[in-house]
Amino acid sequence: MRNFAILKDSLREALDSTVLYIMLGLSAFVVLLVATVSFENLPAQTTFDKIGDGSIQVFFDVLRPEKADEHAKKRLSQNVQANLLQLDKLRVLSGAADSPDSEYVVTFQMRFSSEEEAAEARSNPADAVALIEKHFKDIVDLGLLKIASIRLATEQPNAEGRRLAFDVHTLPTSGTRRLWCARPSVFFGWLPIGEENWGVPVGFQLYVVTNTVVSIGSWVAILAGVIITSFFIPNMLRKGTVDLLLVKPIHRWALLLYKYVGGLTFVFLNIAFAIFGIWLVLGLRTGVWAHTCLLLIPVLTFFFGIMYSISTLVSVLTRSAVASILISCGAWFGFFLVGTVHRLFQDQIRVEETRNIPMEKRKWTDNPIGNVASALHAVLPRTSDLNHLSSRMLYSDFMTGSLSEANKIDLRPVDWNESMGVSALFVVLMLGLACWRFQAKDF
Amino acid sequence: MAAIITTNDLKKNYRRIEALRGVSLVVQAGEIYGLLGQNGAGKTTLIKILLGITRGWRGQAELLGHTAGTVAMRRRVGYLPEDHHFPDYHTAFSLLDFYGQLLGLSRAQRRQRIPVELERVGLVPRMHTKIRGYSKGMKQRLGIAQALLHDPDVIFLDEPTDGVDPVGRREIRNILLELKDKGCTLFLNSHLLSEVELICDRVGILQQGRMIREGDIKTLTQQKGRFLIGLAQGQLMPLADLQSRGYRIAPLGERWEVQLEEQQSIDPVVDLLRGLGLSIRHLVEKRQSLEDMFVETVQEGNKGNASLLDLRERGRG
Ligand SMILES: Nc1ncnc2c1ncn2[C@@H]1O[C@H](COP(=O)(O)OP(=O)(O)O)[C@@H](O)[C@H]1O
Ligand SMILES: [Mg+2]
Repeated sequence: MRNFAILKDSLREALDSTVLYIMLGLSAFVVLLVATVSFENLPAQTTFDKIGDGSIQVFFDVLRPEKADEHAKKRLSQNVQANLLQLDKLRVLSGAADSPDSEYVVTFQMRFSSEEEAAEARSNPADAVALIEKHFKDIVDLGLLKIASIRLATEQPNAEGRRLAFDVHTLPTSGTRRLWCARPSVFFGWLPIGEENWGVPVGFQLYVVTNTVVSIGSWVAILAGVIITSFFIPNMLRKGTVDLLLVKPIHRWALLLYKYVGGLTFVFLNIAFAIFGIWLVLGLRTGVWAHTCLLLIPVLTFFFGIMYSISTLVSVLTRSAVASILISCGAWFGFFLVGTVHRLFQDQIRVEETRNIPMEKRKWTDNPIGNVASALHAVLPRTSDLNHLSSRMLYSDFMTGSLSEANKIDLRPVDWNESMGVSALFVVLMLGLACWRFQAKDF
Repeated sequence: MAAIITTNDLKKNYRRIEALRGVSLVVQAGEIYGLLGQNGAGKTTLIKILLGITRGWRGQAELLGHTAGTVAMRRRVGYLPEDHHFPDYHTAFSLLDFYGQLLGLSRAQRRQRIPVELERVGLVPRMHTKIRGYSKGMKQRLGIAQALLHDPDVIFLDEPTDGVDPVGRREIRNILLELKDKGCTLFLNSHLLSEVELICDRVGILQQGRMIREGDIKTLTQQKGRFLIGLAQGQLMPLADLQSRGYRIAPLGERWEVQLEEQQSIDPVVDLLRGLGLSIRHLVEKRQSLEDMFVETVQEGNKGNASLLDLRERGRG
């Protein structure tokens, strides 16, 4: 009851500021802009043509959120041979023509280097079938398509020669829609983008759009959140205002914590409004329901929670909103710097390890700068991990359809328990210090 | 009668500033207590200690039978801070609703109490407009309403009429008199002495963190046996004569002030003067307002040559 009263009071304070309306207006504008984007599915030929020449698989490799180091990069692309298969024809077994939800038998032609080789494959196609299976492996692994069978086509282009035809029988999955090539346009089809034959999977396009919107949008939202909420606690601690609250039958720490939660709630509502809006309009427009994307709401709120705990402590110590804003933003930049430097060193250390460079020649391993970054990284909140997590959520959502599928190709695994634990501990520490200081302060 | 407020040798330092240097006072239930003192005397500090707003004091301070600052007993206390500042995104109604929730009033209680208190201070017509549009006087009245909202057992008012125009001041005074009639315990900080004189039962004067005088308002303002005598132009006061008869007399401007002892009367003095053929042009029994008493006490205190005991003696004298 009392606690709810303080939340409500914070909300009232936030609603009183025009900045909130500007932010909500901005969010609504972005959501509406995203809503005007439409995707026109291209014929099934386009998608299978691009799978045959291996260009679609490349998207799933190159565009992972975190650029892999050289060794790991091979993991996906080594399965795929450029221009291995050439689309011959396709037949719909069940479902509508050109729909990603249909079952197809796709005939590809494979070129051998000599007539003898082709003849051998004709009599014993197992090796060739294995090669095709491997060509599809990444897509199948990510759950984007199912292969029912691969066999030598009954109808061959010519009895002799270097080409052989194979029938690949495909079954749709819930992710196939994401794999499908589609042509985007903005303003409800008014302004098409790209050529007629745009070989880019719709999932990738959605990923690019949302990742851009979310990474810029979340940055703006958190910054605006830090600025607006930094006034909450100094306002509460104003002489003549704080006295009126301190004489109420409520503990000081509770007063402060609920004020913190109030700020958090305010930003949560804002972020939820924007993310939910984007999720809704994209789902309605494309049929791709990116549920993991909704997890961005708690992730971004947590990110803000870290910044706001710093702001709360500074507010209690200085009672100044400006000091809170400056110090939180400084800390934000500091965490970013530590995260980036740490990651750079970790990546390079891994490269040195996989290349088996002798210890004395390693430049990155046991480097003093790297060690300082590591030590700081160990104790400071892991905001860079949260950035990584949100990119990966979007990636998994639009490219693979689920976070666990995305885990398979995450080359920079993070110990999420540790990462979240350290960040949460930092928040607890900041709030603990703030409460302790507030508890003993004279007003 | 139970003691509502008790402090004993209460001390408080803000770093190097000694705000309170050992203050002892007792306020009984139903009493209206006025604490007087110059700016910076420590009046606000005393209230803030009792309410738990200021910490780190030494000595004894009890409110409603609990050590000052206990969370639970704040439910029974109303407070109007000096220089208060209400969050101006609230309206009078929503602010009282918010404070009511913090005080643990139920929804039904709030619905019932808020209009009653706002009616009492005449804010009902504006109760749904934002506080940022209120005048100083309206804010002060809202401050009183919020202090009374939960029908507290004891009410602390820190400079309740500060910065309020004469009409507003009278309104506030009437509210306080109403509370007095109801039998509320009030603790009032003020330097507007005419108000205190009208309302308070008992006053204390604080100076530089010390209680330099305390007592019943009637006793303090009474001026037993102090007369001013003026003689016709050019006539001399028979000082030696009067002093030899045991009268204390001292010049005060053009006139003379006579201080009578317990058993003395002014009549023999008049008889003596008339007997000497002197013409009395002026004779008046001196009355002292609270203000005179206050200024006098404080000036004495400032001289620093008067001990506490001394002043108390003089007060009674
Ligand atoms: N929060 C504070 N920090 C430091 N000094 C203070 C604080 N509050 C009051 N003081 C000092 O304590 C003394 C008493 O102040 P106060 O209790 O406000 O007096 P009054 O209410 O009688 O005007 C003054 O010298 C004042 O400067
Ligand atoms: Mg004061």
